[in-house]
Amino acid sequence: MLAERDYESLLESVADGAQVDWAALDAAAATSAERTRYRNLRLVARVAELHRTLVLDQDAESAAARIDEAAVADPVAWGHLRVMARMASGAFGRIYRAHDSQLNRDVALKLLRGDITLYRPVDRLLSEARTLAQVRHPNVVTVYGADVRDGRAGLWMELVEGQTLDAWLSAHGRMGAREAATIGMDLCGALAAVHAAGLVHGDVKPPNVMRENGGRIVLMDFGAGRAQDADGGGVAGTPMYLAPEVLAGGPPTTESDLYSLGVLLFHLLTRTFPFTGLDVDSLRDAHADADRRWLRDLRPDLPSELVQTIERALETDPARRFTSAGAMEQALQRGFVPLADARPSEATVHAPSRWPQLSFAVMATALVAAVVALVIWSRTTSNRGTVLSNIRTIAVPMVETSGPGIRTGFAAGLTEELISSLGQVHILTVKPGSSLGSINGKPDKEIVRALDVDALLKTTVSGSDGSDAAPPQLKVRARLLAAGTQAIVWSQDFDGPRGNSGALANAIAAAVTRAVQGVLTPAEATRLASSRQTSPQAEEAFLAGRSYIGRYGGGNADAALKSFQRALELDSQHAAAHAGAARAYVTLGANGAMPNAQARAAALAEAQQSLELDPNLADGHAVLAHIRFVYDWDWPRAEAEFIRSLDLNPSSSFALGYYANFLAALGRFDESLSVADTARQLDPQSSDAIRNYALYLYYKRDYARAERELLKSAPLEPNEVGLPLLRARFAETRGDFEGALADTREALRRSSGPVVPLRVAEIRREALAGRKAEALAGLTKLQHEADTRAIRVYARDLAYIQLALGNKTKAIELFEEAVNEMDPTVVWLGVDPRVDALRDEPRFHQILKTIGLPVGVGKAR
Amino acid sequence: MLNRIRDEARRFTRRPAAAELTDSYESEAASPLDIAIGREGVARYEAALQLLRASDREAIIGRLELQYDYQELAVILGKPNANAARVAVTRALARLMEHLNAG
Repeated sequence: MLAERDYESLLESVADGAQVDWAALDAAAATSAERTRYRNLRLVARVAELHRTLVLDQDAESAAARIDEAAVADPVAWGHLRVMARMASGAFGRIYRAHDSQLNRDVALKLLRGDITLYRPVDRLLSEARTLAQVRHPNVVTVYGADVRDGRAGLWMELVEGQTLDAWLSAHGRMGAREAATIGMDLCGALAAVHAAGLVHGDVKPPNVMRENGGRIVLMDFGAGRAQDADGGGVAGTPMYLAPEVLAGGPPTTESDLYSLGVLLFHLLTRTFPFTGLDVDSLRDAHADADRRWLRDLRPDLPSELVQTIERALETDPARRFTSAGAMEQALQRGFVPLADARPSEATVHAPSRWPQLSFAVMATALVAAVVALVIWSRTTSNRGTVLSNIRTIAVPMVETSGPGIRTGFAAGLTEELISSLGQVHILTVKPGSSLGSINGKPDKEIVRALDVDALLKTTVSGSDGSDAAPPQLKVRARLLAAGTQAIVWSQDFDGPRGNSGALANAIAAAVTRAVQGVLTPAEATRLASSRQTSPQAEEAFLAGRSYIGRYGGGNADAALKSFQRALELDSQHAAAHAGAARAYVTLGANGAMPNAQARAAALAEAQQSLELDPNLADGHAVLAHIRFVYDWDWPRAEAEFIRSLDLNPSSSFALGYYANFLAALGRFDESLSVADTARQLDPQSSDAIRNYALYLYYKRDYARAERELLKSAPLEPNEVGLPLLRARFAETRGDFEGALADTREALRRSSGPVVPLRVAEIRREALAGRKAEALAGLTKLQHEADTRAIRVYARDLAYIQLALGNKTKAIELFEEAVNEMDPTVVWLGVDPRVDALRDEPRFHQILKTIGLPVGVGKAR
Repeated sequence: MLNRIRDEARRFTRRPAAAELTDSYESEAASPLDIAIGREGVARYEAALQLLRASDREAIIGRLELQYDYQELAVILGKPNANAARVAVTRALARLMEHLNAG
């Protein structure tokens, strides 16, 4: 039984989408009631996970936008400032780039949300401005003014281009001693200026510190700042960074600012905190119990002087901390390795002397995750060329968006486009989008390790909506992050008009190939140079469709089809949208959402049209191959299309998966296993890929190896339904029907929803286990529900059940019916061990001949 | 307001992913997410959600479904700061679990 506090932290993990080891919890449960509690919690976690991976439909997004708009519409002007573009928005307001026509300069304008000006934030904003206006320092953001105009409170200040320290940390991971110490010294300077003005900051933390391009460190957002002699009253600021005396309710002081700076440096170096807690109370407890982490334990590699300086800032007793920011800066300076023996990287050069010239830019606050522009960061510039030339395997995390106007669906679709452009380059191996499904958003280091790649291609997209004069544009910044050093070894910007993102993705793929010193074949170069302009709206719809069909969007065929159709309404010549629609139809057919004949006809028409428009479209060939395979049973044409598709894009997990199926169904097991192995290596985190590999071994009747391989998928997704389901098949081959039944019921239990295929499997295995009465009862119930149209039951489902009940003739009749219905699953009858009892029946041979399957494959042992 | 966005978002989660690369008739007709969560599972979650008081429901939906960060949630839920919003979510989740475990 978990302690109350542990249970709370488990709840918090679920709320935050953090990893939870459910298998361990399940195993540790002492009672069945406890186990049920964990399973229920897991259900909630799954629901949340589903929503996290969900790409909102445009309607949903616009609903969100409407709500947002209702609160605050973007103004054209505010006071004497002309509002140019929205840079960011957060809970308390929005930040705009604006132009001050009186002084002819661009500024950042922070406007509070209209609906929340009634309480604290207005005072807070004005006091923030008053506070800041008293301080002038290169490392402190310069505030020009604050006012309430047109009924809305706003504050305008210097624009700072760069990213917040926490955004930097998320992108790059923890810092080295030199970088942290440099930042520490700059912030000491900033705090010295703040303190000299008789103020305290009160909220020193990474989201409130910007790193400008070029390296200038800027302290901003004095939201919690206040005059030193003001009353305390309530806890402001972020708990992890607060000094114990402030947590206890005391007012912030210069000493507490230095404590916060100590925590900030601790965090930059470790990405964790000296004290942690679920809430303010537990954090207070941790302080009281001196239950903390030590910098030395976490980073034994750091210079002792640096560790001592930070630990001194973290002293519980304020009197034992540094007496001033200047004193702390001195200590950091002493512990700093002389500049001569280690050149600071580009990113850490701070240049206060240049600061008066730096004015253009974007301002961000705690509310803003990251703003454009990344600094090229490299600790290993010397061997960058070698690192680059060794890059051959790449993963593409979800494209990040920056600024307004880019929808999540657009970014997800663009990611799929990038993956397919890169996949066309033979010297590169590209991980499928699905491989990132569960690890997207994790630190780069973990992604690199889990997928075993040489590099990550990280991208940030921003866009403009365009004006009368200029068409809407798309801008992409691409960076290669090397696996070994975690350093950015290449970076380049790309831009182009909206409606031609395919060309943009192709250009990036070509540039990446050049960067890694690879050479494109003439055919690849030609294909990557081709481009086709469509309307921004059609592109938007197409990319949304791509994101739905890909794993990022949860693979939603219905929504995908709608998006592709929308794209085709706007641009009927969009080849890739036709291919996408074909894929969606195939999936709808397979899911039983559409009758087979209808799905086939629609899919075929779309696939053919896509290839007429673009004969080099890998996805078009793959989907046509699949149609030839499962619906037309036209093996030679199917295979030719598969080969053509994989020739065009060897990294397509979609084509690889279908081709492996095709080969296995025809009894070409070794070839199938080889293709499946490629798919498995391409996506080592995919339990599906491993299970498919085991499944082909099962069809090959290499049961022992199949079971061994299946076990490998268990740690990836311990509670997955597919695992016991396949295990049940293996048990069946050993004649262990009770075991098979138990596994099937385990699958049903895990699914917590009695879906038809699982019920069919259960009835079959009840029959095999000799529990005839149970099986017949289940069958009657199933048929009744099918008759009342509550569920859809196919002839093949009933065929499998009849066979298990020993009714061979009935089973054969039903399989004949399935063939007439063009049931796509009959392609498996040639190899499926579950129908081995029919292999000597002439009528069954006739069925196999009708489908065109070789007779006798399944009997080879 | 939250409910409206959520309903929109929801429409697309009801019939989720297709099992594209599966061959077995057992898994072909059911999407991985149908199998993973199951209609019954989603229904239980929904039912438990309805038993919560409005503020708890908003906290759960805002955080777990709409993925607001705590700072934003603080504004939506009318809490003084992000940490208070975090506590509100944890408590709401604890109450949701009580309903689920009882039902």
